Amino acid sequence: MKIPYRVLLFLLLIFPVTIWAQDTLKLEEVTIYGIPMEKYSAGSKIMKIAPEVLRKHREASLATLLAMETPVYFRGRGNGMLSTISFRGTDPSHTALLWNGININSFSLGQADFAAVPMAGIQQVAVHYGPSAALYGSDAIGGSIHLTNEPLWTEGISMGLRGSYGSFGYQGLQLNGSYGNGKWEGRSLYYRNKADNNFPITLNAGRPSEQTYRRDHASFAQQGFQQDIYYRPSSNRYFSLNAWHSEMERQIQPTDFSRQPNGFQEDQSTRVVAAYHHHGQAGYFQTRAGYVHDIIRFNNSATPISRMIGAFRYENAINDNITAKFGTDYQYITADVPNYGGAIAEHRTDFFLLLTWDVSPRLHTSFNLRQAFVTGFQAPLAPSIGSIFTFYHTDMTSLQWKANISRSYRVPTLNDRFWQPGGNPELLPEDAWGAETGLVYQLQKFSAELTAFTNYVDNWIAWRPVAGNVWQPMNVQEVHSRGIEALVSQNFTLGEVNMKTGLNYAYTRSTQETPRFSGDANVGNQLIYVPEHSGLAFLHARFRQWNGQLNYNRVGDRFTQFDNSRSLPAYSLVDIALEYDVKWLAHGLDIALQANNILDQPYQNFLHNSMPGRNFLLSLRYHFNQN
Amino acid sequence: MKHFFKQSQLFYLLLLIPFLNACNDDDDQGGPQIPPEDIYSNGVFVVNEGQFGTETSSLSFFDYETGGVEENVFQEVNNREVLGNTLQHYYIDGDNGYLVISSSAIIQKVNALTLEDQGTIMGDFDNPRYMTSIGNKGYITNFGTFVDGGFQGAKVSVVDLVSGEVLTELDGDNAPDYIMAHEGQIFISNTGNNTIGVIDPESDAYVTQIPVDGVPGKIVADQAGYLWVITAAFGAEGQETGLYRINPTNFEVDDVVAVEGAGKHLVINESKDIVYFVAGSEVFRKSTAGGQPEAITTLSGFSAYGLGIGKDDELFVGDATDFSSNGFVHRFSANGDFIEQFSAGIAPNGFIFRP
Repeated sequence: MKIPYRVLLFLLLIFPVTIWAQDTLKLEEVTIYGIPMEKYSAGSKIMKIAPEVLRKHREASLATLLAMETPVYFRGRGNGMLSTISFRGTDPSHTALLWNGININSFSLGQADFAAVPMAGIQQVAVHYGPSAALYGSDAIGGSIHLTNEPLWTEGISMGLRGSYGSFGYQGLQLNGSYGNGKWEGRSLYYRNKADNNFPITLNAGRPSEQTYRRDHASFAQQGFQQDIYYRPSSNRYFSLNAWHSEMERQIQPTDFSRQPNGFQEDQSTRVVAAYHHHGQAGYFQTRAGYVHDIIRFNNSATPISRMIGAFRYENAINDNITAKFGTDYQYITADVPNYGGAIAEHRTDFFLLLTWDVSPRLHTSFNLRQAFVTGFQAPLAPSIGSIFTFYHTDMTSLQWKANISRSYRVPTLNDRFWQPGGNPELLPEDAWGAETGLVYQLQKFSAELTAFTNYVDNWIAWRPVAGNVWQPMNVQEVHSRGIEALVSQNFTLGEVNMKTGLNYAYTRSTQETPRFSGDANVGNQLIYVPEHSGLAFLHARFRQWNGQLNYNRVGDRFTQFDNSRSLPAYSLVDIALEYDVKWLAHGLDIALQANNILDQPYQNFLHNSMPGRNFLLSLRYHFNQN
Repeated sequence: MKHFFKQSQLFYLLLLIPFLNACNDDDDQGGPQIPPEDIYSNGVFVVNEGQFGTETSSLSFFDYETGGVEENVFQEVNNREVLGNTLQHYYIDGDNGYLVISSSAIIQKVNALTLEDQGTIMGDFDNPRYMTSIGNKGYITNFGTFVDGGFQGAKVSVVDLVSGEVLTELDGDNAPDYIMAHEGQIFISNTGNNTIGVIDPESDAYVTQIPVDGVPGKIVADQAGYLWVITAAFGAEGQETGLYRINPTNFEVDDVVAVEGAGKHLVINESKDIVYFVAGSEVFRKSTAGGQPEAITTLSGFSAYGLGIGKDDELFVGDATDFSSNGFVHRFSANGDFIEQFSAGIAPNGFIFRP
């Protein structure tokens, strides 16, 4: 087999650096960023999901977690079914989903199915609002979601076993274990779950023909394995290996009135990233090599796509106030999809330069630049500039002003370019300019953040019918999305009860600015499946061994047609979660009960694809040496 | 993982439990039967497919008496929330109407005069497309399901229209699409192997398959009893596509009129001597007696998603816009003069005139 020269180039790039980097002696702790590039995101809004919230959602998918805990909207085709994101009024392909720094959006569809990403083994979830292509590359137009696993350097053995049982035939099992001695750390997780998903649906509500039946042909099952291995020869460098294989099988939930099977889908993903991190006198180095293999099999028609990934980063302080980071990301993508008319191979190489400059103690700025090169394709230069200005900052209170301007882009998907018939190799990348500004205020245990944003996406790609029955993707549209987001939270104590309460709200207007075809009467209309209003309120409480969470979610009307003549009604969901932990020496037992949608509100996130009413989940977890 | 999901796979393969076929019991109340008033006559039904993946199919009714258009007539008459997912065809046989709903895989039976729900036929359909009938026997083409990179389970279902039972199923590996009954035979546009299939309703077996060039679309019968088929050039460049005239007694093609850029839409006028069809962005007419097609109008700013014919041979052309907005219908005189444009449901794909 002939090794492509770019692969060689990539290997050459990684290894000398690795060897050379080992020479440095200065022992400095390696700093890891939950979001790899957070400090270069000056002026952006980043929200990290709290650990207790992650813990509550261990049985859930990433789609459920984000839908319940952020104002981001998910176009869910039913319970456990395809669930795609709409972030700040953009399309599902306009959010980059990164797992340990690697974009895991499907390269054929350009989007991620957030329902197929279980939360069982994800240590950290961060939501980066708004465009950030300079940091993360293609797709980060509406925002980006970051899933990160990292070493804890805990010593000894730990293990956990979690079994859960829920409504509509849900059964889940999770088994995890870890070993660490300060130098080595290994973490393993196996999970599986399944559900009949036979929740009741009411048809013709309020009419003489009203009837309720149990959904059928909508069952799903999932299993996966995660392995993380870390090795730290000295405190200033370490190796990491993160591997994750996941499988999901689903009967595609039919539309509400249909009792027919609607097809069968199997998703399989294997993701592996190996990295070396080094923090020496000469700066901070990171090299990574990764492999991602995705297969989506719909009714046995497979779409296999593989990627080899290489990445290198070098960071150093130029002086006390300026830090620079240079990096390159390389991907070699192969797809063997019958409808692509032959095997496809493609190289993508990105170069980026990031700078942070503390202009004064009050003013922190960042300047970023990225250029991507894609086989036979010209991607735009993506710069961003951001700043945080601190009006005042004391122990008790602070007030900051943030602003950010950036350009982002999306490389058309493989389907967009190669699908036969219709694939359009002449497509241009989608090209977006976005800006946002906000205030962040903190007063003791009270915090508030108010953000306004605007984002113009040009050359927006949509499939349009051309001759005969053939549809073709074209750069037909310009979209303007803008909105206001508010985030408020307050910590307080009532006797022995520690509480946190808050609100998270988003107003989003996202409109079509130009006609997509001659005679298009929909200019100025809100895009479909973008709620103008969405938000949530929460109350978390901890009392001795008890942990409680109360959530209220509200999603406004969403148009389902481009002419805005039809919409899905607004809905409100109330969820309660209660957990009780007992500990005896290193042994622990948690019992958790969740009651979701306790008002039994019928709702849909995609027209005629009902979501479940009131449902319960009981889980029991034994753990040894774990929290 | 192989055995991981066995139970559900079985579940998936289970035969479909009839659910929506609760027949309308109103007729069983006893008392004298008053013939229903013929409400939906002197007008044109618009068949609106609806938006992909949703149950937004609908029928609109253009009323010649009032000149107005009524939307969602099935839902209005029956006080129902939806009609179904992807209405492909509305077939009328006397007082009975049959709505072929592809993705719902049902045939909704209605009273053709009033549109009252007469129950559903759930004949184990798999993406049903078009329907015809001879006597009490209904013939329904099924496109099948996309499996392993191709369509599987394609067939022609033969249904007893009184009991709703499936009498037999004919192999339909050739992607059967449009179907019509003519002079005691059933003719089918097989889009998989580009033939016109012929079924003998006595034996319910294929008699022959007549090869054509291009993908066969709609079929009409003329005054003299000949069949006309339009064939589209999708993926068949360099072939002789256009209008085929078929002799229904010896099943032979006896005339071919090449038409560049022909689509799949074809209608015939009331006296059955002029056919109308769409090629490229133009609407053509042609005498069945002979001569060349003549362009009568150019469709500007949209492409034809459906073609129909109404009173005085007026032409109705469906405009599906973006397939996610309500579509439009453009109405022309028999000579191609534009009369008006009116709004319809999503993706109007066909028209049925009831005098």
